[in-house]
Amino acid sequence: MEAHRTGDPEAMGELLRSYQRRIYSICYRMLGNPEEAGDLTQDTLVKVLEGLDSYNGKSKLSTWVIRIAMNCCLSHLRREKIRKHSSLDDLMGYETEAGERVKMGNLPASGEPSASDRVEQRELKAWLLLSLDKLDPESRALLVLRDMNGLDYLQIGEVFGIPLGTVKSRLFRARAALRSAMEIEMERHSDTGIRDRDRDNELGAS
Amino acid sequence: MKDFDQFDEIQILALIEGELSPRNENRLLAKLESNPQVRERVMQMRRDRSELRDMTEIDLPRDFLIDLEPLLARPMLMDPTPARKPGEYRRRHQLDNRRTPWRRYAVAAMILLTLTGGIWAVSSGQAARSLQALQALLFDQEEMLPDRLQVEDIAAPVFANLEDEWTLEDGILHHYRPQPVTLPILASADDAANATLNNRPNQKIIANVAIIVKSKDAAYFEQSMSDILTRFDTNVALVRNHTSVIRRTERNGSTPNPTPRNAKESGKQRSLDRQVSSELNEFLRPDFKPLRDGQVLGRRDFRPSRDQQIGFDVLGASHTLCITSIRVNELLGQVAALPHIATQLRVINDAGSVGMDLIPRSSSQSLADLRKVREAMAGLANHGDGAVVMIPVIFQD
Repeated sequence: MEAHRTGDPEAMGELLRSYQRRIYSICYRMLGNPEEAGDLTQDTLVKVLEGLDSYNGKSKLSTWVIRIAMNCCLSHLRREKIRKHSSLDDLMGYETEAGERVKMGNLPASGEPSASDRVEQRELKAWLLLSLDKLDPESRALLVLRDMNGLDYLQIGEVFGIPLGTVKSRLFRARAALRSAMEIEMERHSDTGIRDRDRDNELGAS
Repeated sequence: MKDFDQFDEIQILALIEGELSPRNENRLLAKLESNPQVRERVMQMRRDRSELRDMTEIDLPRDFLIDLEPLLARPMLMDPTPARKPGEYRRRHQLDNRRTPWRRYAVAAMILLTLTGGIWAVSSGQAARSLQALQALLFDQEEMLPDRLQVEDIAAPVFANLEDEWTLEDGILHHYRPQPVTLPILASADDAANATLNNRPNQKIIANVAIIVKSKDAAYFEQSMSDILTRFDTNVALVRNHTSVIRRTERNGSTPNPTPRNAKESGKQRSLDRQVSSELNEFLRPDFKPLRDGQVLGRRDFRPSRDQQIGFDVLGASHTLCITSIRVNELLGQVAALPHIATQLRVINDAGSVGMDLIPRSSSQSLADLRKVREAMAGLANHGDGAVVMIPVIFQD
């Protein structure tokens, strides 16, 4: 930043490069779509480029950049009213290292022992991402910043322009909402899995 | 959330986040024992948090680093010239006009020298060689131009059918009669030669790139462009777009406050309303010389049809720049080089949707937009001398 202010032409490139992965990560987690995330990352970088001279140094540069990125994402989501539906194919199935295809629809019901802790953990992550997608954008943004980008309460407050107490309160509600969404999604897909299994059995019997 | 009512949610959050001291954590866990359901839920939330934190960072797409380069390069046509403060421009203008006697002498000396040199050059054949060198230089520059300009993404025809509207205010009846217009929005640049306006064959091409100028710079832009256009040796014009307004008064002839057409509509119409409103204000100014629709500001004669004017007004464009296609690049270069004001080029998105949506939706200058603009301009010049490109000019706050 100092180098940029002293007129170093390379400094801007270095600055943008140092942030682009983080911005992309935030955009991707918020939108769940690589193309849109790429576009919004570039939007953010342009805005950073244009607004750098107005950066007053009151907050950390990273917080300021994240704030711009998050504003871009939230504006985009509000403007387009995107309720993206992540591809269930991506989330519902994956291959283990042994080449075994695991279907999320066959997720064991609560309390049943899982085949392998590792598989269960991966499934849990997939469910989390699916459920994160179901949250309202503001709650999702809080969780993305807190858990996936490691921002502290104060930084989150600066990003959203809200006081510390509000950050904590909203974060708690976002966590509770995520848990509820998880339960709903898992129950829904567990039912689907059972129905599919029954249908497969019937077909096999006939 | 109801489950948590009997507990302090901030404390529970602290437990989930691992911020409590062991003593306080044990105390809260003991308290949660009274409600196993809530305790289980809190533990699940704690696990969710842990899983989210373990998720790996997303990698950038492979081509993303390459995409960053043009952003840093900032191509000329998308590069907004920083706007000067109004006072600064005025002061500079005054300084330029404050001629001192020695400057006059210097100018006279320069003219004398130029004349002498010119006579010598003509007599010695130097002028012809200079001209050849200049032509060669211009040719080289033309070859090096990175982009030729092109209409590219031109979608289905658009028909904007507006209804008459009357408003009665303070006993004065205002009657606004907009003109219906069909804009020729083509399927591809290849079809541009067959463009039609209201089903009449012509060679007018509507660019899907608009020039965006700050509203505060509107007058300066108009004046500067009028000057620039006089230097073009081809059909070129800057045209004011005006709505068709018929006013009648019932009681007296006092000047009413203008009520813009579509004033009742909200949201996306607001900018258009402002535009129409400002036109009407201008129209009603006491010292205002009546303007005709399609008034040509530049010296070169060009008369787009009346329908076209209305059409561009529907687009939200207050002016239209018209020029033969092979000179578009040159013209846009002049626009970009205008001193003291910021200009941008922007692709008009969603050209195939309803008329009002033709106002560009994109407000960003992302690389994707930049690419679209460059692609849209990439071959506009290839349509031959006969095709005239009309580029909407949109003033925005």
